[in-house]
Amino acid sequence: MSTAVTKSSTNTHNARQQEFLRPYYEVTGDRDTYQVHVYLPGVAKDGATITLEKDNLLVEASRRPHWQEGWRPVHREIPAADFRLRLQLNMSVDEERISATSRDGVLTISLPVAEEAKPRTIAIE
Amino acid sequence: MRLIKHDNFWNDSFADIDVWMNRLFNNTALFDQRMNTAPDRGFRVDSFAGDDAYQVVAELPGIPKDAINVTLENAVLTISGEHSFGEGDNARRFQFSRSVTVGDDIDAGKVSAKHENGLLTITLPKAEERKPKAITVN
Repeated sequence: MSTAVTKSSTNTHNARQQEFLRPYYEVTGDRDTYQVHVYLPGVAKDGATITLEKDNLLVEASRRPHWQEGWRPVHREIPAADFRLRLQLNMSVDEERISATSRDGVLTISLPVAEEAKPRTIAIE
Repeated sequence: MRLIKHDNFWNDSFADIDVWMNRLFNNTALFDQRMNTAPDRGFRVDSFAGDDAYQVVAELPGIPKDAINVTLENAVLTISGEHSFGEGDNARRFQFSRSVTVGDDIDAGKVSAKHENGLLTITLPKAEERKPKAITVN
């Protein structure tokens, strides 16, 4: 690690920190296909990007502001930060067949397990 | 076999920011086990006031529009409903309900609600006679 990186991480006052929120996620599925459901309220379908690099699945999403210009906030609970989720996958995934859908603020990524990673029974001679 | 190798939460370079944010805001889970300590909450709500109307925004990811009931009685807006996640044996069914007091200067007939991307936005226009008015000084 270069010294430049460590320096900026300790200098929290000046470093331009982008604060991210780690969204809640759930994993369902069977041995052939897994689905990762990432809860991203307020994120439109085009607001999320999914990247798969080796075994790292990265989901980044930006929220659009859910309030009008110039309105006074009376009570705030919903955070305005963008989302970032990085998961390390335990098995290889068939990259050609990955798909994702978004519904009601939940992004569902369908990850088919690569053929060679599926369990197979071995016949005993 | 588990899909996720290990949650590299502690090796993540953003981990300390994530931990702080999570502690401050909780996560976006609807009905996390930890959140059941406050049963009257369960989902987050923002409210805003403009010159002509109020707006209440509820964060309900994963809940379809037809599972949500919005009622307004006197000056109390109640968002409630029930939904089940998963299918078959894994189905988890839960109910949610939360009431918010809004101003009494709203025009109840003109309240509208919009549901988009898991956010429910309820707009409550103020009644005409209660809007702020500029008074000219002769």
